[in-house]
Amino acid sequence: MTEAAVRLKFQRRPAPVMAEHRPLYKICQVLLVLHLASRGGKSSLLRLHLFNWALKRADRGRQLKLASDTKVLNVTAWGFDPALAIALRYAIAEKLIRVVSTGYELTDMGKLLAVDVTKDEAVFGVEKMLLVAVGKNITEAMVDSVAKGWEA
Amino acid sequence: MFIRGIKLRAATDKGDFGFSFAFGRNLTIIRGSNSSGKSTLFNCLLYAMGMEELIGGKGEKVLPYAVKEYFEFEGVRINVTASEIFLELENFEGRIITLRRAIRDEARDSKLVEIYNSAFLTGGQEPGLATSTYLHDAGGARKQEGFHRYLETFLGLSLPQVATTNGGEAKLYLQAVFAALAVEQKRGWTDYIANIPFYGIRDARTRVTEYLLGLSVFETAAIRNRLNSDSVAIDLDWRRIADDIRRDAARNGVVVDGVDSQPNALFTKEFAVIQKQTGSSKTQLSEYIVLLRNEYLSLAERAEKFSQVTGSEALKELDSIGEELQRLSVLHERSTSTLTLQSASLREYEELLVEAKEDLERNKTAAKLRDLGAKHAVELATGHCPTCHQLVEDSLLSESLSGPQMDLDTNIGYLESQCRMLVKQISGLREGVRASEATVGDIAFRLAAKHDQRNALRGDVSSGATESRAMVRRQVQIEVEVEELQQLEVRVGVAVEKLVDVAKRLGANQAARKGLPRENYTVEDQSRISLFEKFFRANAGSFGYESAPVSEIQINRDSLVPSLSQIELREIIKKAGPRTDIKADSSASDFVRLIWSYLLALQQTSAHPTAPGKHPGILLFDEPGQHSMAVDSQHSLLQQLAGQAKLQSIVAASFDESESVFQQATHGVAFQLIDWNGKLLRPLQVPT
Repeated sequence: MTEAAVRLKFQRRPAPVMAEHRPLYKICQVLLVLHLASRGGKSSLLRLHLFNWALKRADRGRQLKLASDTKVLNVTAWGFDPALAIALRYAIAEKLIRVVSTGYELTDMGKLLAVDVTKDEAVFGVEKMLLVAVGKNITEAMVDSVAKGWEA
Repeated sequence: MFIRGIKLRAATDKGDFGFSFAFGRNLTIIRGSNSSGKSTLFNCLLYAMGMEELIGGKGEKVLPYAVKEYFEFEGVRINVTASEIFLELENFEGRIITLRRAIRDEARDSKLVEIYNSAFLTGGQEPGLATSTYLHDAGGARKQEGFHRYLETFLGLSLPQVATTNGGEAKLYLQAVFAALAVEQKRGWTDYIANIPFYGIRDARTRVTEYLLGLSVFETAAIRNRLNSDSVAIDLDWRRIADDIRRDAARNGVVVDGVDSQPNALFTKEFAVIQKQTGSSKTQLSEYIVLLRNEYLSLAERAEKFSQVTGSEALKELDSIGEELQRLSVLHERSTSTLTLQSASLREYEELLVEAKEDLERNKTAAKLRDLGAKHAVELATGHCPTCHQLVEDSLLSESLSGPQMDLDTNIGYLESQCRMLVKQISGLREGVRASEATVGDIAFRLAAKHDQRNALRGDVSSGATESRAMVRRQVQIEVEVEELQQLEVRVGVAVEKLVDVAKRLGANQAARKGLPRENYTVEDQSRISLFEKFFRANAGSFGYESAPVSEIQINRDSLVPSLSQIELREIIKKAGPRTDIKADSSASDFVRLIWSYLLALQQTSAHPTAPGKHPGILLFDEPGQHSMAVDSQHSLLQQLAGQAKLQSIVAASFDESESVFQQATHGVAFQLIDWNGKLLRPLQVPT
């Protein structure tokens, strides 16, 4: 075999995807936040980003729980996830949430799905525990007061 | 349980207002037109029993403003300064208590429920001394002073431990059980037992049904749990003893073969063999001791000849010992660094495994959500864009990544194999660490011994003694080593005896596990479920259920809900598309008929003499005639409720605000009526 005849062939294999980048995973997470931890099933975008950020790691979740107990949000900044923005757009198109003046609100269809997700014990065990524990105590005002500090 | 009477007292600047009613032993109908306060009365009833979580919330905030802030009476607005609710209950033993709970009060918290041992409302007795109990505090269901704990004992119930979603155990809360007894009208008629508050109990609805039917699953589960915790203890004991043996042996430079790191029911003491590890070869301990004794004897012989030995011979020996020492310290260093590396990578792999498992869990959630989404006609669940209906990638960030991406099932498979691989790696590494520890121990021991010997020999050479200190030292070392090894042998023997005991416990545990019923439900349970099914079908038939042939409805043996061809029978939310299953589709009012049938059948089965269950014998329905229910159906519901032995039922209904509907629905039915004109809250008569 001459050297010229030696050929290496590469075949590209599919890469793994983070579970939270699956559209329905993120959408249902948003629905849960709206359903379990937001007053009137409504929340601002800023606040949704905060929850999305907090649900990524256990220590952030504990920070959020602390904030709900003390009524003071002691988080100076949090991440903005483009995946959440896309998930919200999808959810709006699926008519699971709708845009309102203050942010996003669950639709009736969204609520039904959220209730089913809440009932299903096999999914989001840790997340649900956290959201139920935090409850609706993280208010828009708490989020706003932190965000105000960013503008200075 | 019987609810004997209820009284609301609202103090206002115009005097005391409120209501006071007594309930019948069987059927009581609360009749009132819409917005007359029917649901206020009904919700006050639940609130008085500490069951307001069924309405959706904790504390007085679930109650309407009329009972806590202000109400209108004869065109005048009257402010409520304080209000409280009384409820008189009787249990199966005939004991009567009165509950008192504040709704709005400066002094008393709404978490406080006071209990009087008297018939204060209907018997006109003095209340007497109160016992204070508390609601909604952590541990309220378990602690003695918790109200729900008190009520549980009063009702003669003993609620079982059930599995929670996060893998632990919790008590089946009384509120969850009450969700099958009391149905409020806002959300209560949307599912079989719709209003179970979220406590993280796994399959709460099925657990409640099992409990009310008195199935033996909880006993089996309790035994299983005991066996589980036993086996955890067995595992722990075994590991602890095995670890002790290993460490003890490593200290003495030997290894004990045949002791698995995990419990083994077939273990006997013959399996455990103590071996001396020298480099890569192993010798049995007894042989090794023989070797040591021989060396001792030969040393003794040489000692006798020592006086004739020349200095050069001693020097030669010193050289050879020096070389040996060098070799050993190199070996020691090498094996110590191997051990450090191995331990570090073990930790690393263990962390990786935890991460991979979390990732796997999330992926499984994603898969489950996809199925759930498909049920709700979410287009993304089938990989289509909701706007343009084209195929889209199953990833939110697909546009910013290049190259193909795994689909969900492949990803799960990939993570699973990664987990399997990591588990194998870790167990291999653990073995390696264990072997390295033994090697390090052995070499360190030998190193120390050689050091001693060399020092002694040096002394010999310089002093020119008549008796070799080196030889004496070596002899002493051998003596000490032999003695230590013999003691070790005894200790290992004792530990191995303990392991044999643990192995026997494991065997017994495994045998007991085999003795548990294979199926979830025993034969007796099965017959109860069949009885339940019969009652359910009979009820559904008499209530006029038409969406499917009643004879084909079965109680699903896994979830205990009515189903048709294994599909849960319920109202399907109609959405576009042919996905809706005709067979499992019930019209809205027909689904409510099924809920009636279900809740009533629970009580009927429980009250049946051949299969006594745990049902407390009350049913509270708020506006059961949902979705313009046919009058005939309402009539047969009331008839069934009134005719049921050992059942107190309280039904609040508006009867479409029509007298003729009321007459038709209650025709020939024995009942006690509660109704009022105008508003529910009115001046209370001052007791004379």
